[in-house]
Amino acid sequence: MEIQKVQQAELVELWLKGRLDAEWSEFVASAIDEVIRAGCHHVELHMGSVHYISSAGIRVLVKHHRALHGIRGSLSVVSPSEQVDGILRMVGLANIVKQARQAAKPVAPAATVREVHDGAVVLEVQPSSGATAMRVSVHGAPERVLLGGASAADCRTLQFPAETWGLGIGAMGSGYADCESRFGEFFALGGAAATLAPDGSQVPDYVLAAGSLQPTVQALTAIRGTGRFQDHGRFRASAESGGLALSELLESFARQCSAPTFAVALAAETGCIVGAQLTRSPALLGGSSLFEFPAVRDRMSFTTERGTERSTALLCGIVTREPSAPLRAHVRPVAEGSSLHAHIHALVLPYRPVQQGALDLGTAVRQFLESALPTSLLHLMADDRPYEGIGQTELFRGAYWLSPVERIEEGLP
Amino acid sequence: MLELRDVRRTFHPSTPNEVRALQGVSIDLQPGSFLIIIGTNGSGKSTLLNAVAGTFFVDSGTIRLAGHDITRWPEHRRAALIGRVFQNPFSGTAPNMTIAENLALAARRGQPRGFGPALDRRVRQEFRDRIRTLNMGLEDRLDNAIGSLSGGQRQALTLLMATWRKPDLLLLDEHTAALDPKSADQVIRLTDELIRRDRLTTLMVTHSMQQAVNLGDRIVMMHRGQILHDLQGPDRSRARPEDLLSRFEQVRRREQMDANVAALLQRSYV
Repeated sequence: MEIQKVQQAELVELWLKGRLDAEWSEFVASAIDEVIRAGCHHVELHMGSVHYISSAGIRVLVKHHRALHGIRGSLSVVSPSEQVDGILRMVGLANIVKQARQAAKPVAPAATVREVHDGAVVLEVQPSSGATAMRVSVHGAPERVLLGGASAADCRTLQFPAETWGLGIGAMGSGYADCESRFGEFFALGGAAATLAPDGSQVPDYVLAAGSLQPTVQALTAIRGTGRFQDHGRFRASAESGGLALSELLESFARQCSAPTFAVALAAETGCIVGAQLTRSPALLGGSSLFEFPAVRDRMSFTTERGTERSTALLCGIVTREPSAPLRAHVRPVAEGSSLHAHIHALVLPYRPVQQGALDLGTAVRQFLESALPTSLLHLMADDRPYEGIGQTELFRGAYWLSPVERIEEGLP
Repeated sequence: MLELRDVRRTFHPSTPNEVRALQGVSIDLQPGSFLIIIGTNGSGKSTLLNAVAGTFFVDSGTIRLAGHDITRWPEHRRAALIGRVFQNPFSGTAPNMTIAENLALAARRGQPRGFGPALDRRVRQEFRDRIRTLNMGLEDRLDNAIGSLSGGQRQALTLLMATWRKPDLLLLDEHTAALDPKSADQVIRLTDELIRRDRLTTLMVTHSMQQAVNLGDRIVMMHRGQILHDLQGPDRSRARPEDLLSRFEQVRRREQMDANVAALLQRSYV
């Protein structure tokens, strides 16, 4: 099997030559996967020089057709040879594939979508939702908690219905005593909440809102946003195959956003993710600092090497140019030299392309969590150590939601 | 069946090359239990097997096997209770002796060996029958020198010899690491069959996460001469290769966390 790839704007043509049978089906599947991972969701398979297709080959067509259809993409078979055309008709796929072929051309962005080129970042900005600015509350004293001073009095029960987001140190359970050994990073967005217990399991647990069930977290420290996100769109790197450092993207968002402080949520295809996670509950520190060396080795984990595996991540957090009280205690500089301060958590999942076009946040979160188990939950940080530092979290493309923050209150109900 | 209590061993003590290979290892292994040992390079996996086999004496701690305190037993005395297969397929057998002669030695392991003929028609028939179970066509090659066999065939025979007398403990030290994938697969299948059939108490060292989750009823992960994780019961049952890899990743991150990382965390984590 020979495959030639031709890039046509937002559509990729794969010209196939040979037999699409069991021996070659995975080769073709990998080629299609590679196109999708590169961010193209419209694929044409030119099969005029394919003279045989077996059920193994048909499986590849069906699988990728469904996968791309699920993210508003398309897979088409164009000008198949007589033999392939005949087989596709026999198995009842001809209509689907030919209809897909006719409708395959990517839909041009609606006239209302504005494309912004901002240095290395390209934003496709959807019309504003018209939502008002978001309200944010902060809870707890992070410094005291991380220096070993957590107690039952710090614990608050927080609910995260659909139009809220949150992050901090928390656990799912009935109260402080129940969660004492399980306090770790938590993440809440779009009607879902996830926690990572620092017990070595390495598997974040999560709850999705359903019926009267609301995700609930017992939190020692927390930032919680309430309200709909105002702005939504897609982002990508302007360079062909490059990724974006998290700070580059946040700086670009800051330029788009009128307010000095804004809430951000992302569904992003990521490269390397850089961050830390607790491996011991701060409630068990017994008065000693979390960061004491060498004890910190048994209390925290940090990504000291760049991973190569691509993944998809849901991110949420708060970014500010003016870190004043009460937010100041909850944010840190995004990277060395950046004027922005932020606190962002990422829920990491196996790779899955992020749908193009406008995307509902709640639906996106639900789809991601229903398709695969999260693999990690991290507090994102830049590793700016001289010589050894691995830099920042790298993002390729995805969807974003932004909202200016109107008011920040201390204390949660 | 096997009981290790606070076993310690340091190589080259009080020198710049000091290696604290075992630092207080304790394990209780029930009869018929199949324990897989995984770990980073230099974590002490093979040292632990060698300590049990008696390749050297431990500095402190006790080793009990089948009701005997074998801590101060020499290696050859322990061999009466222990079967062993090494990583190198060319260890564990005598290359210039025939298959039948090697098997005759294994069949009398731990027993007095006199000057009478070791091989008669009945014994040869028994060897033939047992070798046939390997499905390697070796039953008709009893008089071939064992050195003429391939690595996979030789390792399968070594395994058969090590388990011939149903030892109280079987030690497998990465015994498929030097084999091609097909031979490794055959030897692993044979290992599983023999251990299950004879309910052999087994300690197996491997670098293969797939082997670790497919075989055995308990997984121990070692690091720097200590047991870091001991997966038994439900924790063992749900273990997947990626979970074990994730534990290795955590170990690696822990190792790389130095004072600079601690300072970075203090500065940036909130």
